Amino acid sequence: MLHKFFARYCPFLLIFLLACDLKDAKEVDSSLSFTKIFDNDLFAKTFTPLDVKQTPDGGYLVLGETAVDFSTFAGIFLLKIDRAGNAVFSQTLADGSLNPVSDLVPTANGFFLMCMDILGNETKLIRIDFDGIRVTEVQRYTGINNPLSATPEGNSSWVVQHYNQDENAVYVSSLANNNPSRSQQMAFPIVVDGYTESRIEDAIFKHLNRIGRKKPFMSGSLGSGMYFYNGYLEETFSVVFFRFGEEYAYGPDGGQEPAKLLGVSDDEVVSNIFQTGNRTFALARYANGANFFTTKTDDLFNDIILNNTVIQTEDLTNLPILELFPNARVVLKRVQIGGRRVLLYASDTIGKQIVLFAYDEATGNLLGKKYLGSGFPYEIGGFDQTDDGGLAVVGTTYITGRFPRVCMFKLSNQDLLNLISLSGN
Amino acid sequence: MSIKLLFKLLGIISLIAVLMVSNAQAQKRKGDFGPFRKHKPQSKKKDKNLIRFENTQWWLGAKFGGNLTQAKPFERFTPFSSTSNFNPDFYNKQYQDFRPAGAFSGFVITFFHRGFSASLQPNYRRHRFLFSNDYEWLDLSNPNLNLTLNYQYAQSLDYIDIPLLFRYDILRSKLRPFVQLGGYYGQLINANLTLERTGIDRASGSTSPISEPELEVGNPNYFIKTSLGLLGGIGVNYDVGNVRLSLEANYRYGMNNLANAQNRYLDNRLASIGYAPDNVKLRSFEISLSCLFPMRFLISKNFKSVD
Repeated sequence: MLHKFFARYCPFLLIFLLACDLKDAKEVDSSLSFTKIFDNDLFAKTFTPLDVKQTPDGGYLVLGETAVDFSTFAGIFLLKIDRAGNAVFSQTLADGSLNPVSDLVPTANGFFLMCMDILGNETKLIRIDFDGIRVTEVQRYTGINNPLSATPEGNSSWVVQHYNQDENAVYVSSLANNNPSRSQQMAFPIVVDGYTESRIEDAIFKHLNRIGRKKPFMSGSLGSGMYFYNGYLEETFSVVFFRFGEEYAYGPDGGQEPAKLLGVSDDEVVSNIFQTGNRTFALARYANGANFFTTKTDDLFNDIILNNTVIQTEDLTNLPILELFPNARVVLKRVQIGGRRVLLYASDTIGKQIVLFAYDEATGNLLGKKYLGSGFPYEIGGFDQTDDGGLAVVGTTYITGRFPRVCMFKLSNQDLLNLISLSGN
Repeated sequence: MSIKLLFKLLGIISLIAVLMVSNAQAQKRKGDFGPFRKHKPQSKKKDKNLIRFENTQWWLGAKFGGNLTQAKPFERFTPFSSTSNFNPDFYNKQYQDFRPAGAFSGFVITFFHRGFSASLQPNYRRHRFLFSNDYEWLDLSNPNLNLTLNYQYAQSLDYIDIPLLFRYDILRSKLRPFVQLGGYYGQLINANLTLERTGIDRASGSTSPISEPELEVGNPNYFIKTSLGLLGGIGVNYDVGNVRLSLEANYRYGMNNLANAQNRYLDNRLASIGYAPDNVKLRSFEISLSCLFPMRFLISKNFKSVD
């Protein structure tokens, strides 16, 4: 009887038994997707990541800031991570390099980083090898002090915003990798003539000493001889568009001022701006705590650059983003997802999660968003697209709610495809 | 999902029962008496059919018991990575073997023939195991300032389990010991992770114990549905009238990794507290008691079951 039973009905039983999911237990490529928190047993240490870049071995190098005992400025912290997300090396630079002001910029044999030196607050360019171990000074720029932001222009030069305390002016200078002197420069007054500059200068030095929130200083080239910086100009924190060598006038006497996207003091500013085309941009801004995205600028924005006019940031087409932390830091970059150009805004929510907003670059429409981190607070540091089409996101998390540590989310290409499918995950 | 599985299982059990009945009816139509056979004690020589009838029995019954589970990790994972100690084992979870106890209950369908049995024992079971992590943060400039935390996890895995056992009765007396060997297939129904966080804070002005509210989350997505393995053990049957009581002890040897590698870092909340499932196989001891009823009888004054 039993053998008859099994002979007749075993196929059904086998189908039932074989409808299983053993394949899901097979180890996937651990580099595709992971979440990592880089802890340290030192009680008083604070680690704040700023940028992450993939290295040729498939691993990652994280750039961050940490307090050092030899200066009141921020020390530079480097963390090398293998492709599976395990820390393999970390160091805090002890060569006098402080206050990193650029992202890690990949070169053939390492990364360039523009930073400040402990001696005279001079700007200097260092090279970090892919392992994050060897750091060499490439160039020191005498007389270029208090760097606030830096972006590479091509392979051999930089656009650096820095503060000249003697002249009470913000400078934007074009610096070459192999030349200690600036090739071009332009000064911008931080206050209107006759006003005291102490408030603005105080704000700049608080930023340099990392007291309070960092300000979104930026600078860079827009092509065709046009440059921009995001920083102080005549008591405002504005995005200023200019050409080196042009004559600009300031103050009540009139004259041709540079084109600008006018912020108001420190409370209404552009928190990030990204050039999407010749005269088109995507940007994020905050105003008195509220946060806004402009995912595609219109003709009005084009006009201000062409005609050296001025508009208020509030005149932009703004999307209010209510879930962001007041005056949130925003990292804005372009990534390729499924062959589509996507603008990725990364920021912090009120609930202290990291949130990614994906917008179609062509239309400015929202494609999807994703939240990272939960349980303890999380804050965005930076992100970078990886060779496998995924995304590496670094941030700060507060272990047990009190220890600021580096965290990293590696998203797979599939995760990003899910992100732009408006699945709302 | 779990309801579908229950229906699936009930379907199979019903199918087995229907087949047994239809098979018996078919035999009866052929002249065979199926589960009943007239007993002729006066005949000196038993006919062949009667001998064949007496050598075979179906048992149907219920079973319940307890188990102790050991999670055997063979590949470790953690969301934490130390920047001060690059030893990859630094954050390994510490597993506590064979505690706490789990339980199970289900049905038994056994076919017996000349001392050998095949037994299908579908049941609902819970495996439970414990693991923990310890963390410490120190202020090097003042060692008196430190924070220690202990994260104690309790994982439970609920399965609908279908073991198939082959058994040999060593003796054929009223008290009959047996050995058995077989395999099992389990379908995960539910999984729960409970976290208890305790510690000592010596950094906030005094020595202050930390005891945070227990956190319980369902984490079935961290595990695959399928569990396969071997089991073997010993036991003893004791007949009380026509009812058979069976006490048995088994060791279960999990063959497959239970963790779902695709979903290892699925839940940000759990990653934040340092949890990602290791690749594990389960081992467990179990003791059970069954109460079985015979399905074939000799027609006599007392309807004696065949043995």
